[in-house]
Amino acid sequence: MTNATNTGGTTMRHASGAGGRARRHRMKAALLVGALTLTTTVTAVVPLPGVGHALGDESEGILCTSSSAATFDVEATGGWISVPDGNAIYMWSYGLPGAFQFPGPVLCVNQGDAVTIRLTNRLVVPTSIELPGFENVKANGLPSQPEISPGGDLVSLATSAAPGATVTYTFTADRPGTYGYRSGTDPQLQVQMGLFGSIVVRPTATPTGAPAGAACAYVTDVGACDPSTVYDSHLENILMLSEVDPELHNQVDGTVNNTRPVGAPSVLTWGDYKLPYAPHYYMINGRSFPDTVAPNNAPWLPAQPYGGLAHVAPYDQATNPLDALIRYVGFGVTSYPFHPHSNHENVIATDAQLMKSGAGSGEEEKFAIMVNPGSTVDATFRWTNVEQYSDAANPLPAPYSNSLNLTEGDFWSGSPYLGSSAPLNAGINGKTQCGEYYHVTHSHDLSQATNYGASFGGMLTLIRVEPPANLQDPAHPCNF
Amino acid sequence: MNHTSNLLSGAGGRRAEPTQRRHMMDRRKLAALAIGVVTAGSLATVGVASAARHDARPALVPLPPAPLPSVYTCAASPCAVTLHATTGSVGVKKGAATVTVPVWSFSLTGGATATLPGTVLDVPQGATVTVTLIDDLAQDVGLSIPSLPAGDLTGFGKAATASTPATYAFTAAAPGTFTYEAGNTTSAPRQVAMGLSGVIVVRPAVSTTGVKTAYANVPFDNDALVVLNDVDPAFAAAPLTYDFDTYQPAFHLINGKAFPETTAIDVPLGTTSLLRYANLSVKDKTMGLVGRRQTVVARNAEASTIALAAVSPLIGPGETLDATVSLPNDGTVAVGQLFALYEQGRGFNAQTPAGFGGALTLLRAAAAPIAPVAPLAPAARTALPDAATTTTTAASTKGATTTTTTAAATATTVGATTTTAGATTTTAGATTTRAAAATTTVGAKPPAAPAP
Repeated sequence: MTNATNTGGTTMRHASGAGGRARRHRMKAALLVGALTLTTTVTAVVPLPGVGHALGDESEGILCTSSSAATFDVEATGGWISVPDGNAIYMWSYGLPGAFQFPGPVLCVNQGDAVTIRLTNRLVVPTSIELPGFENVKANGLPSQPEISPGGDLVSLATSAAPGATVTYTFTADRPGTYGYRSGTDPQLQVQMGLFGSIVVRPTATPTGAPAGAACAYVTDVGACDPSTVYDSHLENILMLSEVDPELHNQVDGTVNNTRPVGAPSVLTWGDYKLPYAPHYYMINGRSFPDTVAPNNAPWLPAQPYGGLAHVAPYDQATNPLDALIRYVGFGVTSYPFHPHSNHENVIATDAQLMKSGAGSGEEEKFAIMVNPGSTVDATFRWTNVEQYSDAANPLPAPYSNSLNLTEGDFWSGSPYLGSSAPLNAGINGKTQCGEYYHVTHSHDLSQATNYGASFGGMLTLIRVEPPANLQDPAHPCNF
Repeated sequence: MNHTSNLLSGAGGRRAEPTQRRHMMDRRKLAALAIGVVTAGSLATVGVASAARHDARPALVPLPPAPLPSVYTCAASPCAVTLHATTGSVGVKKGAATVTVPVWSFSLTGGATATLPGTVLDVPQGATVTVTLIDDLAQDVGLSIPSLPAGDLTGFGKAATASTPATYAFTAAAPGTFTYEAGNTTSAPRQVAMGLSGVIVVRPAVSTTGVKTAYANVPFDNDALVVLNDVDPAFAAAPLTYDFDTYQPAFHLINGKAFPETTAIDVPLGTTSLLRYANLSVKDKTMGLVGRRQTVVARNAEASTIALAAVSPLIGPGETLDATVSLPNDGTVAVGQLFALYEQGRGFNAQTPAGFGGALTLLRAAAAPIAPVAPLAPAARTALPDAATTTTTAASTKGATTTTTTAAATATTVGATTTTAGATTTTAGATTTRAAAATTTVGAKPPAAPAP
């Protein structure tokens, strides 16, 4: 129940005041200016064979909650999160016991696991967990199904727990894939309030003949690893997409925490909320840009543990042959048209269903991926350095513009060449480190790529493309 | 579950419990009889199994058809129907009150009889269909069938006027779930938003063995239309002058009703039901079923090249989508068990105290069927198949849950198969670690410190 104030967003932004000409280690320096004792930021330090530099350590990519017995204790609680414009938003969410977080934990299990989720309700209203995509879910040993009151009214879409009570859901994770879970009780209010999370079911099949670190997202009709779903297990990402109507949260906050002004409405159910639904914050993994690119478990976002930065290196058949994996989960009330810049993504599955059957394949390369409410989409991502630009082999055909004529963004390295960098204009606090690329990936409903209307923000994050070793400037190495 | 029938207006009370049990018992015997035949695996043997059942057992009461307000059913070509474009209203329950919203739709009779959805045209594949359109509205109304090229709709471009009906004709060449709507007049978009639209179901002939199909290789046992309409009372009050730009539906309807007045869809254990979705509204609909996977077998009446499971398929405005849902008869699902089917945009509008309303309904597990006494008439829509047909269905539907007849012999008491996971003393021991799969040891990293 931590009140996460605006430390996080402002830390990133305060960095812009650092200025200076020292371009190296800019990100790190910027964060140090914020008086944080970070030693790593968005990149990693563990060398991997063939890549040369670390990708995908704990600070980025999917952050799993796992359990050897596939048994999870979660609590539905309230708490506050931070958004980049400085607001604190009251949320309801699932968290591990005693620790509020938003969104709920990403539960990772293996195919065939008998999964147990014990939900203890610390809210003031009944709540539940609905598990779309799984069959034969039981609650306290009986089918979890829509609850009908003695009066004949539907009161919940899944077996619910009264305030203070615990309900135990059990099911078999029979099919690999990406799933969302969410409240089935007053869902129009409770899912909007933040009661959702994700489940990843990993296949038991493993890739054969694949490089070290390869994993498999889906299996074929006969249970073998599907080769087109092989990915680098260090480059696995999940993007949980949602939105927030801050006034609704404000009113629930005031009601639950007895801070509402005299005469203000008591709002604990959707029926209590009399204003038109008006979302203003759009989120990836419970954060809005630029917080989405902060590392996992960033200490200045104590209740928002999940970052949204994807980190890749250029595809190379010999040295970097594995793709990244992006798992999208839609928790909104409309479809989010998610658009990756740079390269297309290859959609391999929807709703935890491999887009193949027998010899038929429905896999699609897409540059706009519709993530529908209640749905999941899995895509592999391969960044190819198509142009192979280098200032020696493929120089720009015209002199580079005088930088003073440019408006430079802080994720711009000063050079169009991967692995190169150049000083930025005075006052621009560049965040690049070694000439890496940052490409945005975001909702292409561009009103959603804002924080309360201010661009850029909201449902937007970055893909960091690491220069391969041969393109790195020895004076500006990527590892730090 | 005594009160279920309260909620699920209608079908809930239609089967007495004792009858249901008797059916289940019979079913088990039948299933046992059929096993040897079914495992032979050929469709041709299904008829044998089926014929063996024409004994003295009581006939199963057919499931009621989907409760649609207006259906035109044509058994054989040529088909001729007269549709009135007319006024009417729908009532939407909001709390204790009922909000009455004016609608226009295609009705089989004149007068203010319009309901939502408009008349369903249920015709056999290959039929010649003649539609006479009578205009009871004080404005021109034309007929458009979006799936047909203009040249395939005789009369395309014509409009009925208050004084002159218009006649249209087409051949229902392809099977599937289609739509028709008002078209080719300046007011057509507003007319569609008012409800001047409908569904056309084109059915292939039932096979000689009684197998019903929606498309080639898409067999099913029962089908249910799930027609999605929206209403905006502000727009409906002045449909020809209201600022269409501000159209915002207040109520979302399934088969003309908003929850809690929607009717549950019964799916007998051991059978496959075909849900024929048609989005006649002007907004996206994402229809999510919780607790069972759907299999999308067609979109836009085009059979899926590969039929894949889905949780929440999106159905755009004007689009149709067909999905199958199978319930096993293996004891994992109990008769009466409920599954929520609802629009995932959660446009519930809080019509019940618990916050439910709008485009929400329930699928309900019904008792496994038994064979009817008499052979089925080819066009009998509500006939139920035998167990062997069901097995064939499940096996030939890609991605569908496997259903076996041997499983059908087990009792359908879900509570008895409870796992004890919830009662064990295992400590969750949940830790926050990087994603390495248990089977992927290469490159796996040690767990990180817990979140600060």
